[in-house]
Amino acid sequence: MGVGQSYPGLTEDVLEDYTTLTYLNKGEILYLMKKFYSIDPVRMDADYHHRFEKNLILKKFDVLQNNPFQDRLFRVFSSKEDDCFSFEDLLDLCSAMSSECPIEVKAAWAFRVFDLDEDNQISSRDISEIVDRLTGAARRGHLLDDDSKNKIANVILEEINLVSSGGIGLNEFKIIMTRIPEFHSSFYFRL
Amino acid sequence: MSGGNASKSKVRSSKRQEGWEEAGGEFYQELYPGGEQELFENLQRADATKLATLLPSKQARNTTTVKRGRSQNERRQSTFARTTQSRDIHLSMLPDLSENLSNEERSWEEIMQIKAMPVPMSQKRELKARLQNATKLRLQGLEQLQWRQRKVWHRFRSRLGEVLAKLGLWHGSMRVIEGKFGTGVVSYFLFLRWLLFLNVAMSALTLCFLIAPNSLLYECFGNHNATAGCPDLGNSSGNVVLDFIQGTGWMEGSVLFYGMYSDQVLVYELPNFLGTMGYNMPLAYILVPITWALLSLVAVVTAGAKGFKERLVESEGQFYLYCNLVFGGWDFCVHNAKSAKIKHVALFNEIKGCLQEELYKEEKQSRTREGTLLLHLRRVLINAFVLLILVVSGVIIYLAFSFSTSSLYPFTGDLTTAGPNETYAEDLASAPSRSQIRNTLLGFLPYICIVVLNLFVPEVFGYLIGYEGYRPRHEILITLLRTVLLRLASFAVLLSQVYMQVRGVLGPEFLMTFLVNFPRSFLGRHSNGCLKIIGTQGFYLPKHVLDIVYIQTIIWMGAFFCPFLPIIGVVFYFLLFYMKKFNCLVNCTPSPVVYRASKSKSLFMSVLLVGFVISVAPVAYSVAEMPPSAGCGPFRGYAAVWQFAVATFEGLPPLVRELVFLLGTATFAVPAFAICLLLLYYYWAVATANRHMVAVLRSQLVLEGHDKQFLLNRLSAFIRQHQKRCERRNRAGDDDSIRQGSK
Repeated sequence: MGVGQSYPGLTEDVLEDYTTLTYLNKGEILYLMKKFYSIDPVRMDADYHHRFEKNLILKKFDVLQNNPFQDRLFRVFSSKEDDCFSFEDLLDLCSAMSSECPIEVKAAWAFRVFDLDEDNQISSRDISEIVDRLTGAARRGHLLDDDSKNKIANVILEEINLVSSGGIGLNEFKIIMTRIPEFHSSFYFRL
Repeated sequence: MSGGNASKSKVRSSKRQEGWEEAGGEFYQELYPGGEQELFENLQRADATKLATLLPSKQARNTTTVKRGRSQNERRQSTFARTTQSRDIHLSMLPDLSENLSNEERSWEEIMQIKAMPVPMSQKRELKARLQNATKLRLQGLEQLQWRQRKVWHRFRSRLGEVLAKLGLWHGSMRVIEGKFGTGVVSYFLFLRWLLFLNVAMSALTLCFLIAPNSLLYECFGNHNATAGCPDLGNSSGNVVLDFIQGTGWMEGSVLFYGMYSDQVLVYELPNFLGTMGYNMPLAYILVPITWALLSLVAVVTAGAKGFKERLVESEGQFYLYCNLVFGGWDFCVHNAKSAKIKHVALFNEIKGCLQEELYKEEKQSRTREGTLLLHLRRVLINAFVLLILVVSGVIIYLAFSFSTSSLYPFTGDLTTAGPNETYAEDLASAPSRSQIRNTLLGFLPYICIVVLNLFVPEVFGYLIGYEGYRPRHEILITLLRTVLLRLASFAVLLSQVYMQVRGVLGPEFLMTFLVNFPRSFLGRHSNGCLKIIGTQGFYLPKHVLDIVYIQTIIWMGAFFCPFLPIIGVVFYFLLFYMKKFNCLVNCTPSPVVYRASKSKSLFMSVLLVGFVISVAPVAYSVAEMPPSAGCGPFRGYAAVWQFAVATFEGLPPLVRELVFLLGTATFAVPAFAICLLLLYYYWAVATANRHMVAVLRSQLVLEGHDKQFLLNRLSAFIRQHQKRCERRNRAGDDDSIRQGSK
């Protein structure tokens, strides 16, 4: 196909599958494969579905560094939830983050990322912790006081449901995200 | 319980959602298979909040609707409901209930929809394999043709997308900038790239239809001294570089300027055709600018249209503000450690700012009457001062221009006859003499004035705005507005001066303006950097945007008189990208202000549109009214450029003329105008109705929420009662059995 190098396990059929099942095009998938393969060609030759550890992935794909939601990304997109990525996990991540991906799909993935305690809803505690992560509280201690954080959480939750115990469900989250223009451009990175 | 019944039926009807058909006629049904067992188990816990977690909207459930776009008559929908239990993701797929077997096309569409599911790749592949291997009906005849066409079109589109992506320019640079600054700043560079492509299109047009024919084809009436009548030729300063900058001498003889274009029908011989073919040069010279003007307009409007639409949808208010910050605040593309730290601080400031906005509003309420009066007085004073500054700048430019004209050409006020330059025309020394340099500088004086003013006055504006007590967001907007006014004023003065000029000389004027701006944008950024020796500055977006809009306005304005200008523009933008990128990455730190990338594109396009209108107006006026130069150019001999168009029009067949005249008569114009007004009113009415509908639906939603809460409470109360009764019965039963047993 004029690729220059063929990768074991990435046959034409598989590539075709990936193109149909993700929002990436062939060129981008091959580029990802090239980078992924170069982490450890020997292991990749032996096992196409080999799962690389977080550190190795971070070193190679620097776009994931310094991200306050890094651990969540690794947990959500890793199919075996073991903090490791196989090539297909990486494809899922890049497809969700590509600019072709529509808002609803991004919102569906983002819901799982932002649901920090994994109880299928974004509760007030989740929102407080998200705000902490955004303001870099991990490094500098809590910058915003609890009052402010609760206030923010209340404003958000009140608009959505009237019982403040509880949280945002998936469908509600999807609907909100379609009304927020910033979301599409921020939940995105270039390969 | 009647109230309960009424609300129950309302709940049921809302679940069916029959009355909620959207304008597109698309409605969906939610299917809730499975989970019955879990429901009964959880009902034992008669707690309203616990029950709430069982509601469908709280489940991590994905419903995807597939819309059939096949024909207007049939719109069959099929819905997938994939239930996902919290940890254990398993897929259950339910096809459309109306048919058990799906046909090829539907399963193809369903395969296309798989990528929208937030499940791991291995499951997606499993699902795809299952769908492909399932038995399906083959399509027949027309349907099969249509489906094949769809597949081919889809494949073509994806191939095209791939090719375009490969040709993407500056992909790597964008990535680096994104990593350091985030998507807000990158939107500026994307705008720059878009303008580059627009200019490439414009250059292609002028190159193909103006420059190439004029250089390659030859006039049939043999008058190669086309430039004899041009008054400015021979006004060379004898030095190549000076000539290049001023646009005199050898530059004038080139295809750069209007004066060099032929006014006749050029001929060329094609080998296979009999006889000669003609190429009407003057006609081309009119049609090409009209074409690229229309092209630019369409491009700007379509690029900005999406953003305009988003603006109209109301999404202001505390809720959206906070949601934007919490869920859309972090740019996932930022990966530089220092930028990440700065971004954290920026987000912290923004959140704090939002929380304080409410305090500001309260403070505004509580401001005393005296305080308000004082503030308004201050604002009026400062606005008057700003106006004064603008007027003074205009006067300075006017003075500079008249000084430069009078000292360069002291004998006549007209730039057409040369003054002291003539005495040095014979001086062919290779090094420019001092007086020649002085003359060049004098020629550039007005432009240098403009540049200097544009550098310093905005700083003054920025200083003044601090005293006016506006909100930070408004501060930026108002400063921007004032800067725009300053540039407009200076440009207007410049134009009015050049107004008297002969057409042949106008080209060089624009070239000079252009060239002066080239080092200016380079100097401007770095002189600012020199002034602040310690520390770096932020990448102040609005100023940079104004820069390139200004440049583009000049290009549009000058491209009629100097067809080479778009090509120079292309080169300029190309170099500008690298300069700005260098400046951005090396000199600037990520700004502590959070930039909204989403609104950027529409904002840039609106400013560009304003620039376009400003640039087209004077050109249109000069085309219609001003007499072109008698000796050179494609329109020599006509009273106005537009006269030529009229004359050509007379030459068209009578049918076409009749048609066009018909368009101008009242019998056509008035009904057309009325219809346009009606359409406008219709769209405005639809927009108002939709807005009203949004308000109604919002209040209905609130009511539904109340109903839901009420029902949950009743349900939990009922379950508790039921449980108590069961316990009592069990206890009574035990007592009975104990009593019976003891008997």
